Amino acid sequence: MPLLPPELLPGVPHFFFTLLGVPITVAYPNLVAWIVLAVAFVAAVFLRLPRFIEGKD
Amino acid sequence: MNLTRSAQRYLRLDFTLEDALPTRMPVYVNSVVYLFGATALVALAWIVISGVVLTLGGPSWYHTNALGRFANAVHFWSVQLFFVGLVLHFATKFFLGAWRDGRWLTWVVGGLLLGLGVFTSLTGFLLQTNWDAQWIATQAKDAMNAAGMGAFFNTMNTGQVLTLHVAALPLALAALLGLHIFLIRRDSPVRPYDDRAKRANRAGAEEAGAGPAAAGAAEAELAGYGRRTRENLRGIPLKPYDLLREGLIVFGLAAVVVLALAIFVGAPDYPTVTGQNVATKQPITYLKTTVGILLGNDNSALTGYGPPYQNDDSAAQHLGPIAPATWFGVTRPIDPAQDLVLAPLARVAQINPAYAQPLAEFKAASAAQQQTWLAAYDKALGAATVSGDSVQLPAGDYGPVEAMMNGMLGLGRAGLLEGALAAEGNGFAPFSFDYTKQLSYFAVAPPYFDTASHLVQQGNPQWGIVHETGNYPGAWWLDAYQIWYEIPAIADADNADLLVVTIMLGLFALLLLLPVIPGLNRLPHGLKVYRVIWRDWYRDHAEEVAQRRE
Repeated sequence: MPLLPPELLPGVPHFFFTLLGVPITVAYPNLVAWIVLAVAFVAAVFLRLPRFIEGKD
Repeated sequence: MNLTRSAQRYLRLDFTLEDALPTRMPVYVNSVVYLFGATALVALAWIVISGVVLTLGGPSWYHTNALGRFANAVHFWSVQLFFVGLVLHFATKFFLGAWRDGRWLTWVVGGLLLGLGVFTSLTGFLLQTNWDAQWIATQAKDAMNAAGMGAFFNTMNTGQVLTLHVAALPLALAALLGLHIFLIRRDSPVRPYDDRAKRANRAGAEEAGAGPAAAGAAEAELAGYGRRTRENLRGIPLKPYDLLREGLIVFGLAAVVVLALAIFVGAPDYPTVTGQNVATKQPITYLKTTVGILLGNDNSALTGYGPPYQNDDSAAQHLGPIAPATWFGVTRPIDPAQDLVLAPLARVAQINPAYAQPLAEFKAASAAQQQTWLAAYDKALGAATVSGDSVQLPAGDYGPVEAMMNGMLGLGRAGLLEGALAAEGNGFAPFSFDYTKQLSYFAVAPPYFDTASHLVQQGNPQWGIVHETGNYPGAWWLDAYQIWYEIPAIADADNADLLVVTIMLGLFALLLLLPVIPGLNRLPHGLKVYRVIWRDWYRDHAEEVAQRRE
């Protein structure tokens, strides 16, 4: 029985992965963070630096 | 030797104004990946801005003050953005092999910044002074103690954590960051790998104007730069660039992201588990924990722990003959039965003499008799019922223990448990910033683990220190650390913390030494991600520059 009021306890599902047969538990907000990282990196690799950021001489 | 003249000469020849604030960049700096370092930097600026606001009211004011709550939310999301930028920056520099051409020190300093940033963020999570901080403090102490760091750093000493977080660690970060940026600007962005274009493309490069004249023009462009940059960028075409403009634009974008998240999503702040709410909502659990501390069973976090609390080296985590926890001995002596239960009970007896006699009887009894009474009481709690304010036990011979436990329960219900624990051995009361005793009281007892498990709906009590309460991201950058605890062979080992710390220190050393490890330092060249990032370079300039350099 947890001690905190129920209204403060939103359900937070966990995701299970398997790495070399070992189940890995990750909270979904952390999982979202890793997905953001992966998407940002792949996108950035393919995107050229906008000229407005470089500026002019 | 005139040091001032030497410094002048260095600035004139090796680190010029054009190095520090360049208005041109090599043409291969043409990808969004080059913004990740700036992202981490501006997020750090937001961390500092919101952190300074947070310091105005101390570590706990944000729980109840609207401005404090907002500043805390900005701080929380700035940290998230900082690590997003930092990890992506690291990934980018890895895939570009950015340690080449003598830039190994820049890489090493960057690695140290990552390590220091992670530790600083840990102290920040500990400073939330809420349930999350309470949980992390009691969980993270084991790794610190196992590694021998517990002698110098106590996750449950909020005063130490606070001063480290707002003074010592930021200063160290600033110094390393200054060195990192200096090295980056002095040496210029690493040039692409000298992959040769196919023979068919060479003619095209000659037609495009490669040759001595073009080389001369490129050399002229480097006027004003220091020696390292001129050496590194020899023959590389430059393009106009506004570094401050880039910084301001990224700062503005970061502001939009961080402020929007702070306003619309906020930050988590769950109340702590207190002695009072355990005593009132779960009195049997409270009593089971308290008698467990006297018995020294699994409900007692610090009994038989060994260093830094007790002088029992056999209890310390070992890796073969090595036990770092024993290196510095007992630096924070705690006798759980005496310090957490009997001493507070003596204070109860001073207020209510009815508890003096049971306490005296218990102390006068033999250790075997004490254990018999305690074990009988502990067993009876399994059949206990709660009726109003009292806990009813089946009839049995508990000696003075039942009266003693009622005294401790009363102390908890009155909300005085933490105060009584703080008073012990504190000659400088009311000042006390070390909450080791208060936080460790329920540290391995059901209230903490049940609450943690419920908050994240995870059966595995090894929640660790990486998951935030509610729907908020936690310290996901520590997932690489936490993941080892998911492996049963490690999690079930007696020296699990020491094993994981050793693995992580080894991996960190590998990361720092990457530039000089044969094979690994060529890995980016084999992975070819740089060919995508620098695709314009390999299409337009690689052949031309290679010919100039021959």
